[in-house]
Amino acid sequence: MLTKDLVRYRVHKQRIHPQFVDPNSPELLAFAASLLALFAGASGQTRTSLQGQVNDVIAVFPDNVTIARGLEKLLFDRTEFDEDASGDHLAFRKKVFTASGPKLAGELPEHPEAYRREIAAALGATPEALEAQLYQDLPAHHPVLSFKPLSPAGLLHRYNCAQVQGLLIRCAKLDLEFPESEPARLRQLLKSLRFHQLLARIFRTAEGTTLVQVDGPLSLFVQTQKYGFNLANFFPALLHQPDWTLRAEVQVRKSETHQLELDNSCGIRSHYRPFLAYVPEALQLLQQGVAAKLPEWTLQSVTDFLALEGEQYCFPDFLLKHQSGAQVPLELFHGWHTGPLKARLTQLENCPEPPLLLGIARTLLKDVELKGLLEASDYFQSYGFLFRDTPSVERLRPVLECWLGLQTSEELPLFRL
Amino acid sequence: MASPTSGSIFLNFDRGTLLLRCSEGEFPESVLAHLKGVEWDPRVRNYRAPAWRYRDLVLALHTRGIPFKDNARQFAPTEFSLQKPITPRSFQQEALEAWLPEKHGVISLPTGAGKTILALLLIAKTQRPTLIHVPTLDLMRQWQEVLESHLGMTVGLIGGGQHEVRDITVTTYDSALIHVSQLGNRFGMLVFDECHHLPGEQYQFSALGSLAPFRLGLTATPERGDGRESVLWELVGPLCYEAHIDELQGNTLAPYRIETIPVKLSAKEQVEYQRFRECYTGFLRRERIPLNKPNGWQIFLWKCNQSAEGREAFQAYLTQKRLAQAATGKIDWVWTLLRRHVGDRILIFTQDNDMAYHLGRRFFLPVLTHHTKLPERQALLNAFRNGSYPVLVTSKVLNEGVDVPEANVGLIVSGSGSVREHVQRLGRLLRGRPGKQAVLYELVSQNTGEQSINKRRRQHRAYERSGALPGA
Repeated sequence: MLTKDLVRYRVHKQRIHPQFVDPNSPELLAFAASLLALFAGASGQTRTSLQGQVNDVIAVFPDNVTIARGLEKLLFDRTEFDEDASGDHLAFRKKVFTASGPKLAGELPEHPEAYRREIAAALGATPEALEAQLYQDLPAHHPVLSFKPLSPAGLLHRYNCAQVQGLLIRCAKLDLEFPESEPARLRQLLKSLRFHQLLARIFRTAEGTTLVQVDGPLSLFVQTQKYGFNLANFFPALLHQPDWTLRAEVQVRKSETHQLELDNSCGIRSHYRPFLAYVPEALQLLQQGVAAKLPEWTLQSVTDFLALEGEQYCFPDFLLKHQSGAQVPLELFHGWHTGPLKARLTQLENCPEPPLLLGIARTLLKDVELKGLLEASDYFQSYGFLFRDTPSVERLRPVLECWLGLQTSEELPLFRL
Repeated sequence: MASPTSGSIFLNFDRGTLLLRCSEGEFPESVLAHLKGVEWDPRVRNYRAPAWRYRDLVLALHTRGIPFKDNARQFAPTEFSLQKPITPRSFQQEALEAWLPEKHGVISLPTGAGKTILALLLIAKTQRPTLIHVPTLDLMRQWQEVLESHLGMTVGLIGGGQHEVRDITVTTYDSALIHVSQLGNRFGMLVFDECHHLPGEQYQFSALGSLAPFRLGLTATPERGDGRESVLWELVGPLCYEAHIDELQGNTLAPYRIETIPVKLSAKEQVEYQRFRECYTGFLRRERIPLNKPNGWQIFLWKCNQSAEGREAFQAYLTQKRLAQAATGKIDWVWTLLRRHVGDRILIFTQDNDMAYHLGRRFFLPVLTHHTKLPERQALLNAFRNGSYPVLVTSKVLNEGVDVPEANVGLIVSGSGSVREHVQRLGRLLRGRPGKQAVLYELVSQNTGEQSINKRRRQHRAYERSGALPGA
């Protein structure tokens, strides 16, 4: 991510325009390639040495130096330094201070050189050598451990993406519009919203356009930047949508709000991996199991979101359709979903009608508070089940029966914790 | 609490806010009229309020006999007892009496006046799970030690790789910000140490997103340069008690004097200083950059990036500043003062890490900066306290809070124009000890921009008795 001073933008009539670079510019690609070459070959070099070489390259950069410093920042972010290479420096310093401490507490000579020579002699070194070695483990001296490579064009796209992210950090409200979007893509986008703990309000227009308003709970009361980082981190996920428009209120200067407008024509390439309609093998097995053991049911991926009380929407993982025409969504919560599950349980307790089934990974029970919530949840007792690695048909069957009103929850021991 | 009935209100905590639901769906306007800070949130089709409004909301509902069910609050009164009784000093007693009636507000006391003990007494009286916010990891450990020794219980820590939530927990402002959306309903009392940090752009959300009704702010310097004290008064409560350094000096605090030492640049440094200063100020004049205006500095940086001349001006600015802050005459003076104060415990403050490490290398001194890892930091502070290392160099990490009562001599080699920074640095030396006399030296390069910086930072009553810089 870029710091505020490295974000380039222009303001015109209340609109803010990020200053993108041309990712096809031969000059910029050549410059990016020369920087990348330095970083790729920097293994073992100190930060100071690498910084010196980068400064030499930047010194002859003919364009705005802020661009060069921005690219440099992104590359340093991808560089890992060996901070533990310091080894014996602590012990060495202790030895030096154990020698200098008593001297400083006693009579000191008029000239510091005599003092320096005395300390150095006590440690069998020259003052100059001692001086050079004393703080040799400072970050400036840390060697490069590794660098995550990327292509020159990838770096320029990454830079353009970071320009927008740098503005979104200072944004309190974000409106997104998707005239057409494949359900699978939209689903991933909404999952990404949830992953970044963003709150969204979703509408569909009569023409089929999806509108998403994104912000955090507190933004109702204050122009919060607390969610700015989440919004910024969410942005690369948006770039995977084929057709989108973004409108944001950005506050780069105190008490001045500017409108940021962007759409898919900006041409920025996402550096996030698309995972679209990927269905893990284990879940494919569930589909096969349902087909074999529950012939009256079919299992398919959900193509739409579900309106709920409270947070207002969720995007279940599967939809189960019964031959009678009844259908029920199934939402799965894995080991990393503690927070979302707690929120979902609260919402579901307030729902007049059960809107979906819950499949919950057993590992979530390690959270004592969550375990207590599940034990106390009538909803989970009736419409939820636990699974170890993947949901099984055996666990699913009684919940489905309960859903159809064939059994009562009291007779379903599988739900008990 | 009134028991909920049909038509009653349900309070829920939701990521730093309160959600208000009415059991019958619609919220009567007659009820809403009494609830300040509550707004309709169309995104969730519910009423919502920022969590810090909890106290006012609950009081309003109680007072008007409106039934409600409180699902938001996840804490209960908890008994904390002191291992040994503590007799507060007279000013501490006054501060206690000022804070307790409302159980919220800011107390301003000089460094060394016993703010931690005061907070401890108030926590013991309030009897609520308490979250204490501190700006640094050093302070987090320091608070933990004091609380554990006086309360005889394990104190939780959030920050610096620790995440253990207990009835009394100490956290850094940074970590509190990350966790407030989950923990904002777990504590009944919040303590903000060095609370002048709280109104910052981000930190204020730690107070906004928590429903704790009882709040205590502690600081030596409530004033902020940006005038955002009002945020502090709103989120923590008004300034309810204040005592100044000069009022407690000689009794609770050590007597002190401040000596400003003008330092001459060498002839070569003076020539270079003038050359770079003129390059920098000439650029300001030509580009008509108003540095005294609020956004002057941003304009300067922006213009510097626009041309080769600008880049040269920026380098000139850095060089003239470095020449003034790190004049060789200052290094000589450091040695002179080290010789003058043999047997004393000396803290040397610099404006930046480069100068701190330069002094460290030059005189083989321990240096404490943000680069110093926690184990070494603790070892250095311990060695300073027990006298094994009588001198410690630091840039800014010791500006605030860290308890080094043995320090009696301070050398400000370079600093900013911030009054707060200066008062905090002075505060490091003032913790009372029998027979202690503190002295703070300021080294100021003559005929440089440092003179006006020095003048700016002395605008505090703690400095009124000390002499002005000759020629300033």
